[in-house]
Amino acid sequence: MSGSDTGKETRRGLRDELLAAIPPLRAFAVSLTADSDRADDLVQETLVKAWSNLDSFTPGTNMRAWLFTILRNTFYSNHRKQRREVQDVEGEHAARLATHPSQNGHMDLADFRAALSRLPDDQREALILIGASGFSYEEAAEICGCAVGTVKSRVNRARNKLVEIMSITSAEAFGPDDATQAVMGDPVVAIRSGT
Amino acid sequence: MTRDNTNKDLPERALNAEQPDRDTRPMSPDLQAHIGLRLKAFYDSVLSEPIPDRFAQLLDRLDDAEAKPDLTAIDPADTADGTDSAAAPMRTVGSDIQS
Repeated sequence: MSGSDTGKETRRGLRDELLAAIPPLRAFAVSLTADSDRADDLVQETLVKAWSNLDSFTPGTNMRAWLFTILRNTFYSNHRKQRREVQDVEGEHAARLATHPSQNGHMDLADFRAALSRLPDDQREALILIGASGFSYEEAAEICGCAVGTVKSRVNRARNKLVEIMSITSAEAFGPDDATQAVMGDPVVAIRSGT
Repeated sequence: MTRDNTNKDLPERALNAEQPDRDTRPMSPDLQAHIGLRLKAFYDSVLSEPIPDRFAQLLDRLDDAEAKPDLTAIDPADTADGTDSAAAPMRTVGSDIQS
């Protein structure tokens, strides 16, 4: 009862912070789920959990990292069962995408998304957190609940695996002969058929 | 076959590296930069999408529910793992908004 006014004000501020965190949360969620609808459901669940657990958030600490942690844990606890089936479907989807040479930037993105979806979950999340979300290795380690060294090696694995996947993609797009030539030539050409 | 393709993209010294280290060895700066750019392009494409209305409305609803304790459908104790009871009503709201 007492202090409910300040509580309300705090909640208002936090509401705005939550709102501001939605774009990065969605980007992370899309990376994890490889599906925009599922990603938005995941973000929604994250917001509900965050809201009901605001007490456990220490003001002044990194709210984005806190939210990413909730989203990640929600993803693994709620979607673990579905994940295997979905990944199979996505694998086929990725394979279909991979057979189309890129004609424009949009296809490039789709190709990359498909390649990303074929990474193991732990590698993908590490790569996203470090390479795109702008977290430090320490923050990423905290979010993933693992050691800093583990994050580093997952990021390296993810990068190597991506190159591997995208080389295959390119080989499939070119056909065997052209692919061999591409591989022997410019490494960048070998990764992607376009520029 | 996949290994061959990958190896040819890497510096010669890396080619001779121990296979077990293959996944974690450093990548050439060019390749790393290329992957980084692609990654950022993908991530930024999602970042730049407008925030769906459902989220602002969800936050408003949560705030309203908090202001009226009787309507608080979200029980903090319920969120330790799986917020089905908390998330389900909100999801309904969300899908209403979507359609």
